[in-house]
Amino acid sequence: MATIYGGYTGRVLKIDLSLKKVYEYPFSDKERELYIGGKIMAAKILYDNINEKTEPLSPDNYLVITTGPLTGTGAPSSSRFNISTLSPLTNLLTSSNCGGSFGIYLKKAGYDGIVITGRSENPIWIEITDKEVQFHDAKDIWGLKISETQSFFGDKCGKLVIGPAGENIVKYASIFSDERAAGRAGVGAVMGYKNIKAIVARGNNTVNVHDKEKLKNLYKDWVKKLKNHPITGKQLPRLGTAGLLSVMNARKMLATRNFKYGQYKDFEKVSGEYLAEKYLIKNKGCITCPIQCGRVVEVEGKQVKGPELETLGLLGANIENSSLEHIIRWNYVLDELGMDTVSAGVTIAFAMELNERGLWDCGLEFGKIDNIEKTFEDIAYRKGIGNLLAEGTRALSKMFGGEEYAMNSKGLELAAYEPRGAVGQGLGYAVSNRGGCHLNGGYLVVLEGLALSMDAYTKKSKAALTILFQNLMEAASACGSCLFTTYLFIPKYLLEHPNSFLTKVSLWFLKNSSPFVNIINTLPGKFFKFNVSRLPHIRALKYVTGMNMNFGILKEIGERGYNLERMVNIKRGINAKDDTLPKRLISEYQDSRDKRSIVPIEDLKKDYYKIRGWDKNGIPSQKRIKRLRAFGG
Amino acid sequence: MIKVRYFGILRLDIKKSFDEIEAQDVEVLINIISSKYNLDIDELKNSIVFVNGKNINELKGFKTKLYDCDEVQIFSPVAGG
Ligand code: SF4
Repeated sequence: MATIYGGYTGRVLKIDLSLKKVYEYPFSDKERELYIGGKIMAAKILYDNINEKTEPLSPDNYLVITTGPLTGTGAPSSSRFNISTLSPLTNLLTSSNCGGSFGIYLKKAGYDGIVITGRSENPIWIEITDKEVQFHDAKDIWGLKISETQSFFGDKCGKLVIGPAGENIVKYASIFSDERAAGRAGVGAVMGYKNIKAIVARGNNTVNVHDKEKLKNLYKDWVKKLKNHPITGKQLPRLGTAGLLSVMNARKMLATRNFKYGQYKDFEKVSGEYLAEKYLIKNKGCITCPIQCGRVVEVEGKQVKGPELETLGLLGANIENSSLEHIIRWNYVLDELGMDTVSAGVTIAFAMELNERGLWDCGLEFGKIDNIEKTFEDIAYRKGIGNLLAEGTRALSKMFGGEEYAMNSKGLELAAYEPRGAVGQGLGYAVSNRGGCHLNGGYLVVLEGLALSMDAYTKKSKAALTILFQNLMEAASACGSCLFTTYLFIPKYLLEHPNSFLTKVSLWFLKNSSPFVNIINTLPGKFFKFNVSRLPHIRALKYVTGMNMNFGILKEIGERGYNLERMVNIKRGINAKDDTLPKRLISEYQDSRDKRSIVPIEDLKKDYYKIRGWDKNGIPSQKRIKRLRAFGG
Repeated sequence: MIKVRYFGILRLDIKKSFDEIEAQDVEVLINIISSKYNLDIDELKNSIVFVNGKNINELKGFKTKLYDCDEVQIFSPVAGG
């Protein structure tokens, strides 16, 4: 289906694995205007094709891989693409924004996205070129780890691969593109269930853009802005995401001992600073990215990918392990097996607590590290206790009890931020469409302590800001951009002058900003027909696609996407009771002397639903859905 | 003696993670650190400072008094991730 818009190839590939047939999936320009690409486009495809009975692990589930219009246009930090499906971990929609080069190569092969349904009888790999789509027997690569599988295909192509964890349908298996993972909620298990070991894309297709000249200047300026911003130009390149661990600890937001505490006595030994001092070789990152937030570290004479913040926290403080060397090694092992480090870390911490309380004699103990690597291998191959751990925390709590401290929301394990030290992030975890995810939750912890120090305990304005951030990040992701590009939204001055009077006044204003923020949140996009230079995505979309674009349209695209994903989940049967957190976080104080150190989830949710235009059951009102044209029309 | 711990980019720049310094308040401490490592005082004053786990903005700012064995954590002003 050809398109009048730049940035798109205009074609979406549909593959029916059961029939081994390929088609074009119809996606119109009208839909491009409404859903842009990436996760929002995928949400529309899922909404139209799955129903309340579709089992995540069944031929009927859809695996939807989509790029954004900026992918492959040279936009900074925009080599990203998205993978959405029904998650076997949450039984709901999940979406995973992934880096590496696959998205760019998919466009070179001539497609904006791939929609996969059915199931192959035998393991296969799929080759997509600008000429044809071929199915190949995967018997020679089935069983290989991630890097071995990738090297099988050589260079000059985009590779999307799973490891043993995906093959064995570990519920939190991931999919890899280069060394970047679509990590969360078991997208790799769906690919494994469908018997796809790899998808390889290549070709010579080029992406047309609407206004090349203006785009060139905009991208130059965008790179400059990223390089000049204290987070994307200094902090992330120098310390990576790992550099946040110390500040999280100071602000009592570092999940420790299965989220019992917010601080870890040995945090320095697993910090980003220590990583940089002892192990860092160089920075690395996705193509077209000036930030290069990834780390390359050396262990046992081998250069490997360094752990991200989440992994450091969850395989360090949260299991009371102070050996950074082991974390680096486990990070490598988990990546090679093709498994999400977040869910794996939280699941073993939960097993440790179950063991400590005498509920499950599994041999895992806080602070004991000699059996961890073997446990990860056992999970990937579903051996012994690994077979149970492969099901994730929610399933384990159904088997052994301990639901109050099984650290998940809607079945997805929480990230490394202890939300009793950042209650807005707590709300985000609870309402996030994909479950306990910090990013899809709105990432309010950035304002509550990581970058700015807004009052982390107040309920004030948290719902309003969460919604604003969720919508903007949803839209940025749909463009094909890395979410870190949205940091530009935070004024440089506030970051660089945390103790100044002006910053203090601004933080006070932020705390009381809900009336203003809600004007943006609730009024239709047509009232905001202006550009915002802190969001270069707006003009980039305009110059790439040729669509009419302004702040109002962008924020409405984000809001549409968030509501559409919600509607998929409503179809799957969720309601307000699912938007919650484990009891430990909502009914036990993190610090018994501080009555604010708890997530006041019901109050926060009430505000959130009201602003979103959702009823008390958490269901979007017909009026809002209609205004957003969430289903098209 | 005040126990001082450095974090963030500051720590990478001065190549030091820990110091023991005599100082009666945060202002004096920051001045000593500035001359010890030849750091611009205004820039250093943009650090996020915790005294015994509390942000100085919740205490008396740079006038916060320090006592023997207090622990001060100094973070470069930005984070992100
Ligand atoms: S900031 Fe990091 S994750 Fe984002 S595009 Fe750049 S290298 Fe990739």
